[in-house]
Amino acid sequence: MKRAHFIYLLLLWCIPMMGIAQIVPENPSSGALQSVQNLQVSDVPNDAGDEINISWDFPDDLDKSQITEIRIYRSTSASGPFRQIDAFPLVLDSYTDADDDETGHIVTPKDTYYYKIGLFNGSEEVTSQVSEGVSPQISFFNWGRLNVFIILGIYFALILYFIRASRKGREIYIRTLPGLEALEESVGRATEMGKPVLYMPGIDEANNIQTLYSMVILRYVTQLVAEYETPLIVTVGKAFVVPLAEETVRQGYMDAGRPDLYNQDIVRYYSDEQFAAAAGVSGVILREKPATNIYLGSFYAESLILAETGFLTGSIQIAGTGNIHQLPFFVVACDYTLIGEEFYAASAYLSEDPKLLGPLKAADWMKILAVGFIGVGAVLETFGIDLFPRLLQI
Amino acid sequence: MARRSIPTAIAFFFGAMMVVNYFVPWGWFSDRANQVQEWGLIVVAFAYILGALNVMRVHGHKIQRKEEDWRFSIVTIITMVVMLSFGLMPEHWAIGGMERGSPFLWMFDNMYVPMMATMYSLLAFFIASAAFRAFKVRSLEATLLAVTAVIVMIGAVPLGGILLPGSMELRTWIMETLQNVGKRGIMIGVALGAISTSLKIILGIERPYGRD
Repeated sequence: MKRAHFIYLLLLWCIPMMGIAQIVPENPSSGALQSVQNLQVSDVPNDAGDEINISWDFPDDLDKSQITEIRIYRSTSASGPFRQIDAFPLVLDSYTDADDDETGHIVTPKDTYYYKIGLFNGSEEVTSQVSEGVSPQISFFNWGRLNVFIILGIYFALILYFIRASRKGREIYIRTLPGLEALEESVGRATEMGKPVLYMPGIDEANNIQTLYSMVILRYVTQLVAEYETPLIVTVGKAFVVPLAEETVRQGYMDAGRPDLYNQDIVRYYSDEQFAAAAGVSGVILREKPATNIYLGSFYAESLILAETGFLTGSIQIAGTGNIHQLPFFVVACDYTLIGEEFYAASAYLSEDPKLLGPLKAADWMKILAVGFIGVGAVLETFGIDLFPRLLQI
Repeated sequence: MARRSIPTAIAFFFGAMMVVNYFVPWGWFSDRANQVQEWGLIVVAFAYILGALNVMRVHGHKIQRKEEDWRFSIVTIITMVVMLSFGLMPEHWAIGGMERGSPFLWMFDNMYVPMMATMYSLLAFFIASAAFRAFKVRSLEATLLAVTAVIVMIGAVPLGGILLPGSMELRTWIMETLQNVGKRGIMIGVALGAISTSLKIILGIERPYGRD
């Protein structure tokens, strides 16, 4: 009886135990918050000695969904005290500690830094062991940009070589650029019609190389209109370009020996706002009906508004820009368009100065080099060799 | 001599400084380079005064000489003065500042913004008229252009796949392969042109600044 009673009690005890065994996880540690492992710190290469990379691994059996915040602690001593420098709710496995002038957060080569990572689940926090110390190093050359440096070096050397060769009398051939050939003809037409020539150097700031280069071409155009005594209107869409354009136009008239033709109303500033400037220039085109409109510089969405307005008034239109997204609009609406690099060839083409012809030849050689790179790179990639992407990566 | 060499030397120094800054991450040097760029911003701010003076001068002369459409110049000057005055008024004045409810912001939101939107929306009509001319089939090249444009346009609309089966895939191929090839070719040329022009300006071979 006693034995049967014992077996009965044992069975009764086993039933709930079997249930408990089912709900208890296989690994009792996975429910608990654990610290990160394999904490690594390293100096970020090729920088000003103001960044440190920190990376870590999460334990395989850690339930990441319970982490509500990761906290980064830093100290200049392995024994502390550690100060929290950042916290974020994302479960990331790396962080860059960077110098930040705005927040006053300092990372300097003078100090050695130690880090700890804290995992917080809303109620408790577990911190890792202290990392090894790391001192950021100042790089005096960004080795990651060595490829750019070499390519630029080759290009600069080619430019200087061809300038020298051109000065020594070497013939440099430039193909005919109809847009630039038409420049004199269009100014002549304006003279015959007794109407002005309108020149717009784009709507970008003077720090854009296209705007600066447009000033070089404007000087040639000014010399041309001065010779023909044709009125000139220069419309400007950036306040900072006003003094540049005024000086360029004044110099152009002086070069042509006609400083008397210069007046202060030639350069007209409209607005720094894109469409306000477009409206102003369109108004000039419609009211004063220039015989020739020259748009050379950096243009955006206003390009078609201007070119179509000029087309409606029957002007001869010459355009050129390095902004490739605007080229189709100019090609459609203008009589002549300088496409991309042709725009940068204008001064060399117009002046035939050996100093300016040399860089054109150098650019041709660089294009041959680029085509060679593309060809060889395509073949290597086809065979699964990713040498070029690695070499050219910045 | 000095009139030519001093601007060239300044252009060379600061131009070369910016090129070197790209390759040298050293904090001291990049701080100096950033400082130079800040100087540029200060100079730009002063240029707005020159811009405003230019507007006043050009339109003032037009009114003075009673040139054609001189009345528009009066409107230009009045609107500029009004906007400038309200914009420069201190915020603690009832009609000053640029905050919500200020006359400046009211004029900006209710006059300037709609006018800009109008100008931008005109672009649609200009595109239509330009496209009409561009797609006239007059030669083999123009025919190729027109056919390609039709495929791209049909492939871009949701009904395209039904109207012309395969047009969507063809459009993607035209845009990503044919178009990109041409575009990148032009981009390489533009980049080389920009680099050589920069070098010419830095070395004083090409001088958009100063006098000869």
